Amino acid sequence: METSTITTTTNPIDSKVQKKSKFKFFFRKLSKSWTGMLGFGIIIILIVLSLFGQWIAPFDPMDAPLRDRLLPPLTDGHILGTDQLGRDILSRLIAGTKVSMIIGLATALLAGVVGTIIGVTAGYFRGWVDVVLMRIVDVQLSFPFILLVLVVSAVLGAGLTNIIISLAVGGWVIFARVIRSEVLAIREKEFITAAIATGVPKLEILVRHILPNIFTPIIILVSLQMGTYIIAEASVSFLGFGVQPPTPAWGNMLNEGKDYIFGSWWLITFPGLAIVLTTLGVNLFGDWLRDTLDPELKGE
Amino acid sequence: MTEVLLEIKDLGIQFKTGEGVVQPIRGVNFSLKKGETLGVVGESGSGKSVTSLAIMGLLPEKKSKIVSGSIHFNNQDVTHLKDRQFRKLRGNEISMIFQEPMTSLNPVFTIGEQLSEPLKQHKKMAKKDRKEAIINILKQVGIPRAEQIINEYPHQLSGGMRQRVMISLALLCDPKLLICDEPTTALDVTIQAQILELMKQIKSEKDMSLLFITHDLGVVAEMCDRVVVMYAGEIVESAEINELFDNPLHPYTKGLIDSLPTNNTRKSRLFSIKGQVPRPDEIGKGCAFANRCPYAFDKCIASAPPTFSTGEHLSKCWLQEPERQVKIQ
Amino acid sequence: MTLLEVKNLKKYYEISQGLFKPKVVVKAVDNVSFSIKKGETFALVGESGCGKSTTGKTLLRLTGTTSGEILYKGKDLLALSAEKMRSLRAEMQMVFQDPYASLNPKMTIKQILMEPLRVHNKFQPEERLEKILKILEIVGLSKEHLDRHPNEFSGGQRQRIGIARAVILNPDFIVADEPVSALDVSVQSQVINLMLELQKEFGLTYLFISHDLSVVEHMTDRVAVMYLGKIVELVDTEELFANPKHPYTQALISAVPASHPKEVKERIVLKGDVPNPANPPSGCTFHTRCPFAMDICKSVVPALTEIESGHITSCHLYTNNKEEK
Repeated sequence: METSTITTTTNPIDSKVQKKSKFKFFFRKLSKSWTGMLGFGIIIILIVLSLFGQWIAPFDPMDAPLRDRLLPPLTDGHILGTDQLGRDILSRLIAGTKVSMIIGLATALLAGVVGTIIGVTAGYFRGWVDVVLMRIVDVQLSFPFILLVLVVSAVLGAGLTNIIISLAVGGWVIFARVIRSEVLAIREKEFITAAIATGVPKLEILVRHILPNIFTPIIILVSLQMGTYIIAEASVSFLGFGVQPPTPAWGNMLNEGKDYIFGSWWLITFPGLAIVLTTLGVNLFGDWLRDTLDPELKGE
Repeated sequence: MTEVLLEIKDLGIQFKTGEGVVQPIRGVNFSLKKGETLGVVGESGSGKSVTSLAIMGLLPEKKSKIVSGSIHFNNQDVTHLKDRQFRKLRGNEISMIFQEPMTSLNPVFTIGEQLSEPLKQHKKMAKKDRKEAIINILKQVGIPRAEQIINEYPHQLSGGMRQRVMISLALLCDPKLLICDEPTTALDVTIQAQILELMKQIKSEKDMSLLFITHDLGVVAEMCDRVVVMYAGEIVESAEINELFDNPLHPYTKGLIDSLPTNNTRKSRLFSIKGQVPRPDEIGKGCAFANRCPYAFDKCIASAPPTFSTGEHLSKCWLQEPERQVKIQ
Repeated sequence: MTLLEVKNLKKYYEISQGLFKPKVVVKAVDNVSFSIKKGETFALVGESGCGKSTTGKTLLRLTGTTSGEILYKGKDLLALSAEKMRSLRAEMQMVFQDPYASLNPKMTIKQILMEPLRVHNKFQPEERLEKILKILEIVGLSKEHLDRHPNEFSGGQRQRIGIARAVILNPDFIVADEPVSALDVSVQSQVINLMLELQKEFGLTYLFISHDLSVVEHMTDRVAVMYLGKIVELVDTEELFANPKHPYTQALISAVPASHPKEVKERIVLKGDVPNPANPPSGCTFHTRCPFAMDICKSVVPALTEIESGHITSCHLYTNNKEEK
């Protein structure tokens, strides 16, 4: 037998591994999990409602014909009834979707960006920077989240932007903590040692090797945290600090409806359901995303 | 003793993956006689570990399926045995030693607690007798201070000691068949030598059959009476140990033996098999080794060879077709 | 000509035992000295925990050093500034054991191979791709692999990529840390051949770290055997396998599995385990397992001495009473 050459024959299949489009891959994976599908479906509905709500809603959410006040569901075209001022509850819910989605998304992005920067700084540079930042995180985590949000929004005042800022002030710590531990795990990986051995400068290692590898956990965390922020916004609005009436938001609808809880159940039931469904949808989708993208579970 | 203890006939196993169905085991045949040590040699992806899991009834239930063939253990068909029935065999009549001694022991229980588990399951014994049996078996596998070790936790032991504990765990119920899945791969060379020595000694003392799964031909040469060589989910060659090393009939076996550094002149190019092990979804209708085989011809690519036998020496290669009978060298 | 010289290298770790207990010092590398000649393959062998990998990493300053000198082409690496060291890395590269962990999963092969050229500013940007294609061809991969990610390759192919990354800068010195032990048997020999070929073509000097003695015997020129952080024997490869002096080396060589069932090996089976490096035995650290241990071994640390020309070992058998062997 003559000695063989070292050149490998390319696997015939290698050339067959065609680059499937990422979308196709996404939907094929999604179609295998009914919880993921459900979550994704709910999110799609919410997005459609918040984008096109004003054309979908049967009534003007601000229009208050007092003679139609407290109509029960399914009367005079009011599918979900009307509130104490005669406003159509369905239309107000749809209008509130936009508020909830904007707040959930904007807060998650703001808290995500701030938390990631702080988490990466602490995790990558270690030393006293890490100690100081993480003690701040510890202190803040010992405060009840909602209390902190209330205090900050009391200082800043009401309004959409302010509620987003106060939620983000309360929420960045989660990101900082999770991202820091991700960075700590990644920086111990051998490909980081390999990059150092290659002679890649420190900052470039961070940008080219560490950041791309923590992108997945950031996405997962953003989607999971959105649900938390939507609930938190509702709670804050319910307590009267958040979005101010007459702008419809699910939280202040609950607040206004609570006085009529015994006579007119529909005033608080439907906004409550909307919050539950939205959070459920976002969380189901976030869970699915984590299960699908998380490398630990992926390598089955 | 020529009585057959384990017989596997035409075994085929399918796995469901995200991409579809793959069949990592495609028709495996072999038998293991009582008191014999049979080596199963193969690289990663050859299906050697999946085969051993099937014998143990440990295939993941939802993801895999035995689609053809049968496994007979001690004249009993265990192919589609229920898990409850399998539990009576496992740890009792069939035992297994795994590659990674750290992960195979539960970190929160003491050595003594873990060793008493199979005895509780399979044997009725007083607590005192149990302790005695455990200390006894630990001494047999060469663990010093056995009386103290039983109160210690796995992390307090070294890798070699843990593997000894694993062996004692497997031996507790005097199994008829001991499956060793790469038992020394994770160990250092000097510790590997100790463990192999120990296993030889145990084997000579107990009337037990050994199924020795490994990728290391050197370990096979030392331990086994007979060898089956697996490649891409099937057995490509099976022979008595000396016969296999002196006269390998399948080009894959020959390539493996020739590529051992000790069989090459120092500093020269090593003999090497080109290419790499195919994935289960890459195997076409021909011989699975054809794309790496230096002897491959038209027939090899066109159709898969059946098993040809030269006495006790079996091989799956078109070169061994009776009218051809090429001797490779 | 000496390319790299290591003098009295020490790497100690401190392990905290809790608030009120004193710290335990682990001597991972304990006073190691050796030199590597240009163009040779120098092997560090030993069992896990003997400090061979740590030694390899300290040479490239991938981990800190407690004390000692590392002279590369006469320059003391430990005295270099971080930036000077970084640019010197173009000449000193590393191949890792685990080809799955040592390649960034998010990068394509092109990005992985482009990185060394970019950070060291080698070649004009337009020539770089050409260089990458050339190196890919040398390691047995091809143009169509450029835009793939590491997870689309087998272990052997990944190790080829790892090797390509190390040699693309035309380095002089490569630390190869168990480069074939994670690979399938039939692929191991391919990678060994590739390393031998590259050495011939580029005049590389290797520090080859391995526990696999048959591979070490095949491809290295000189060997240092390590036990618990110390070198116990250092000699030409052929001499080491023909005439091992230290009882540990003898046991190590005899423990290599046979290559044929009929091969009769006189096996020295060592008793016991490798001692805990945090609490090494007194005197000669090997005395607890040594079949020839004498009284002196328990108390006096044997010095490394040249017992024959070019054959260095640290064992009392050769310093005092030779007849006991």
